[in-house]
Amino acid sequence: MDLLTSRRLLGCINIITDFAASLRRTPLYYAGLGCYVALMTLLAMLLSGCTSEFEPDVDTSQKLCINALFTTGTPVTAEVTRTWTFSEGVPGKDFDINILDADVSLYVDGNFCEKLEAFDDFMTDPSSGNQVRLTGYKGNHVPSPGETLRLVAHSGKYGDAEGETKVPHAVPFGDVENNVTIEPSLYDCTAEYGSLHFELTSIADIQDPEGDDRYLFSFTTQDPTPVVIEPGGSTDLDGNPVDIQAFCTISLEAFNPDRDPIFNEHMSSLDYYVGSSGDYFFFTDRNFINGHYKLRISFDRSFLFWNNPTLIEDIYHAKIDITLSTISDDYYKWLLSVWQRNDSSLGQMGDIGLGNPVFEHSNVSTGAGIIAARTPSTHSIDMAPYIKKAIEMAADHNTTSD
Amino acid sequence: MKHYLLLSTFLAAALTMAAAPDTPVSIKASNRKAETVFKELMRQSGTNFIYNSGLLKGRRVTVNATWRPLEEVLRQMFPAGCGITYEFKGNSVLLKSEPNVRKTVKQTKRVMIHGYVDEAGTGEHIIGATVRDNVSGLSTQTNSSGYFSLPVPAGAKASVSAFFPGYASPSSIDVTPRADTRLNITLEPAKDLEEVIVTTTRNRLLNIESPAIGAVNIGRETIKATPVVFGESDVIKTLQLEPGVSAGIAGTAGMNVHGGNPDENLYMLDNVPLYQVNHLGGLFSAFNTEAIKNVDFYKSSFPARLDGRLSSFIDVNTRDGSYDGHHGSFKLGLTSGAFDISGPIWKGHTTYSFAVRRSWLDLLTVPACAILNKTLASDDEKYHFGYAFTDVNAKINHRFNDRTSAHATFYWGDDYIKVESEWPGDVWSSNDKVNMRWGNILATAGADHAFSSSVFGHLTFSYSRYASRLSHLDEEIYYENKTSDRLTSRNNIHDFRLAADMQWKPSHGGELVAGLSATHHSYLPSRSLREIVLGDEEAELLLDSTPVYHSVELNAYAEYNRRLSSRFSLSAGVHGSLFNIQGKTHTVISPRLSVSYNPSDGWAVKAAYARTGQFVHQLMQSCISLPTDQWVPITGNLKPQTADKISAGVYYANGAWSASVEGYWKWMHNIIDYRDEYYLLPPAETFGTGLTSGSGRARGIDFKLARESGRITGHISYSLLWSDRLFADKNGGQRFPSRFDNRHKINILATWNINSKWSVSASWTGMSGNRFTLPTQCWQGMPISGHYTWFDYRYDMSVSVPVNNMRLPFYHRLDVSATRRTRRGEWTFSLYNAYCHMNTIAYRQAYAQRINPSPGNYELYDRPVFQKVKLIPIIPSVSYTWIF
Repeated sequence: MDLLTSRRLLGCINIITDFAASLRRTPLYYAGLGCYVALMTLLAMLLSGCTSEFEPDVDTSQKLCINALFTTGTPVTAEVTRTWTFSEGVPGKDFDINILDADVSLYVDGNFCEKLEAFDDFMTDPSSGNQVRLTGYKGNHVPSPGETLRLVAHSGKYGDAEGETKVPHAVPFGDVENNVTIEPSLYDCTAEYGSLHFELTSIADIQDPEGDDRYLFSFTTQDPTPVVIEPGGSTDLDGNPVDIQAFCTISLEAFNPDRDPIFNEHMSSLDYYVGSSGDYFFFTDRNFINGHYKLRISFDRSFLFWNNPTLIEDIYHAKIDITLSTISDDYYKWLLSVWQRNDSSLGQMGDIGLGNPVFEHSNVSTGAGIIAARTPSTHSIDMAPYIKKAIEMAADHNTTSD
Repeated sequence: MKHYLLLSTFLAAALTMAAAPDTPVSIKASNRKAETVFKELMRQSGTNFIYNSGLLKGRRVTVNATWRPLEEVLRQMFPAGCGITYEFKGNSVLLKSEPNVRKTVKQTKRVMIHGYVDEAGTGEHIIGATVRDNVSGLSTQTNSSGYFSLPVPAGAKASVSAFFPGYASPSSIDVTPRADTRLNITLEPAKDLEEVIVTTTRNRLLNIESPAIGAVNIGRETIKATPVVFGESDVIKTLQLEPGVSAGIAGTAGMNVHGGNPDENLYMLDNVPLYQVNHLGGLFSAFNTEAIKNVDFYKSSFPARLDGRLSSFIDVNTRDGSYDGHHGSFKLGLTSGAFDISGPIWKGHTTYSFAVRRSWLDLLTVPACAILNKTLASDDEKYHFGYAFTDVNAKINHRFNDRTSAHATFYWGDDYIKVESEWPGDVWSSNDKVNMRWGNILATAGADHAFSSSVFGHLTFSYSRYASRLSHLDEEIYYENKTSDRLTSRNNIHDFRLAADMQWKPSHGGELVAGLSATHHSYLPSRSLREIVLGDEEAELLLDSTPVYHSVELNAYAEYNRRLSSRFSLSAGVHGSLFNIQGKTHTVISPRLSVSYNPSDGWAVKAAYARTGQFVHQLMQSCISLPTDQWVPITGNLKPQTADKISAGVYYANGAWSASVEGYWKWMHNIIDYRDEYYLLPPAETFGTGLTSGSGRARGIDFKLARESGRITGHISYSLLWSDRLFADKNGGQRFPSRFDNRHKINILATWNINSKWSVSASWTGMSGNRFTLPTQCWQGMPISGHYTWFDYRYDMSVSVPVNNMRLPFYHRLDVSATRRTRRGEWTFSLYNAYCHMNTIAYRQAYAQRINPSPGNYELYDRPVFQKVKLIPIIPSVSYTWIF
């Protein structure tokens, strides 16, 4: 029995000991404890599977990988990297996989368009303030729906790779009916400062075009830029002066994909029990092909915070952008395989050796990389009426309380 | 020179004494050298035996006589047709070669001795017992109803005896039939006798005297003597020790026969197919050992009556019930308890048999959870967990008369699991409940009738249902606003089957068996319903559903078995199947042929060809058995799966010992697997799009050396196997090894009956590891939504590798058990994996914690590594069975 197994057994014994100490000493509990100890011992013995590391004798030759997501209306970018053996380490930490000296050519509808240029920049991570390296290749071509884009990359060290995709046509939202339920945190709210809890349900009409289409739903928020209304007008906990700002901030925390079954159409019954729907929301038109569909978009228990919005009208206009992208077939397959690998019962079985492993879809000739395309359509939901209403409710509540 | 010396010795002795045919002698010998037996007969009777020593070279005889005339003893030793005749001359007995044996036998008019072979005490019919006329040397077997028809020469004396493993060989019954004669034979269970003398076994018959290849018969005692995990004896785990059978994942009751897939085995309970035969993810099978009478297992040549799966057939026969008083047992084991009872309802006519087995894990978890929850604060999350499996077998048997009997059987197998968590609260509360229930129901009614001494018929009507239901309720109450989301998924199969089988044994020899069956299948592969409550709004959605597939399956078979001469026997048959579904009718014609040649006593050389067909397959998402695994019929463009198999073997039996070498080559056609990048996704109706059809090959050799009677029994076996697959849409169209391509497999099983109180068993299994697909190379994926921003997560992706590119390490395990019999019952102690070698069941990619090696930096980080996953250490267990 190795160290890991011993630790697990000790852990089980500790749990049992702690549990026993918490019991009141009655005969019933002693009887129950006996059963529980027997059960835990049995399960600990059965399930104390242990692991040992090994290095398989496999081919470790590296291949070229291309990733590109072409977006209608945005100049093309691509990323060229190399593959690595899993046990080699962590890319970016133990070694660099970026290939910046490759020849990368773009072909549009079978015709050479341009050579892409390498870039090696940094961007700031707003959550930590750290600089994050961003590398890749960029070109000038702006994809349009219906185009077939092909990337061909050559590296002297890692060989060639190529793949292509077709840019899908846009499917804009039709009518969008918003239903927002707000519930201000009344005890803390005033017109100047407060928060509200809201639930948003939007019913968005989709007119599916002819042919097989695949969709990716995403959302983001547009918080109005905070405005300083009194520089140094307040102090922080350390007594330092800070600006008083007018702002509104939306915290979209709980998009609930379960409110529309179409977001779970790729889940098997077993996935409902041992998997999850994932954090990215994609679907096909197979349930409404060439027809209308009312997409139900629900955000549960999200929050909005405000500070002095009454002073500046624009601050009310916090917005939620919902985006429906039509995506290429390979993009859908790739999303599906990523979901299956990480969130489905199939992937979980494969991870522990009880099922076949799931490989992420690749349409690059080396089997590494994905070349995909999308055409987004966005609808903005202006939260101003709801913020105003919440402030009114808070004011009414405070008046009544007074 | 040696020959003349022998002859002269006997001739000299002949001058001094006179031989008497009626001189009484007593002798018991089981497959002893004939010369050794003669020496003893000479000593007792004073008779000389004159023969050319070459005549008896290698000849062995079996004889059992107590103070019987010498002539009768010789008749037992040299029955007509055996190739040797004897003649009393003076004080000597002259042994000579029998001229033109075949002609002699053929010219004799025959009549039938027919009847049942029953177990003493209970009166239960014994299936597969050998019935032999020691005079003519002719033999037969009892059929699945325990009935036999034995042709014997008319007007001649016949000495009939019956044999079955685990039963003592009785004295012969002498009859002189001039017409068809009814004869019921009773066998005494060997365990009730002080001295066990088993002169032959069913497996010897299958190996030496039958053309069957790869056929094994296993009795309840053998199953119980096999040491297994948790001490839960299991027929499938006993079969896993047979050569050519792989267990799949360690500890489970899986079966992969001769490189086949798990869904290519047909499990039958009293000749009625069952679909899902596993409990608890395959840790136990659905067959309660206490309800089993015996099991027939076929893996190479198949009787014509069996078809519907490609790789093997397992026919589990349940006990009929005792005609002699009420008997039963109660067993309490580490994970389950079992109770069985049987007895007469109407003495001499009607019996019942009832067995129930239930796991008792929930008897621990329910109070444990209750206690645990009690210790938690009132607003803490509470848990409820329970799991139980239950098997109920019931059977009623009624004998109307000597010719007609009827039976009704019932089986109910059920698994139930619930996992619930409850978070109480005044403002917000929630419930999360998962319930799963799955299992089989089987009901059968049948009748047997002996139309004449040589024609026997069997009629069966059965209904079976496999159903699986999963339910998940997610409920939240926020103030008074209630939201609930309940998902219910189910799949099921309903089969109605009517089958008629006939057996005709004409008096001139041979046997013709034929039958017809019609089955109406109804498959619901998947139906998911979702009920959502949002405050006052309620909605019910049919999430994902396949249609119910109705199909009709018609089967007809005929098989002719005949011993062509004293050395050659043949079994030829054909099985035809029609499967009608979605307006299409699929046909599979399965010819079967087996021939056997006995070059000398105790030796057999055989060859066989068999085709099998299969109309249903199981969609499995893992290597373990799950309730969501769906059995689906062939639909769309899929064709019936078929397999052609040729096999050949050499067999040797000598007393309790037997040895065999069997080789086979199997070609599988239209077999079904998941295609590359398969997405087994809803809608379930389109499950066919994730599948691809291809071919497979398996070839190998099985060696087995067995000892089936005596104080020490068991076997040593070795299997050599190659198995691969080829699909246009899998592995890039390249051939790849199958997952259970276990190249070498060794099994050693030994049971030592030390005395009437103690017996010990041990089994050791060693085999090449399963094949396994391990991704080794990675590529970095782009951010999911394509935004190269801080919040968009990237996953590491796996580069596709050839299917089953790795082999797991050599698997080996020793299990031991000891049984202590007491006056009232027996204790069984067992150790699974006795030397605690935790075998690797999988490889995986994982992250192991490391300390940064740079000096002065003690940062912990996760390092990607390949790991071997090992499971199941030593597991001791104990059980007690109270017998009454």
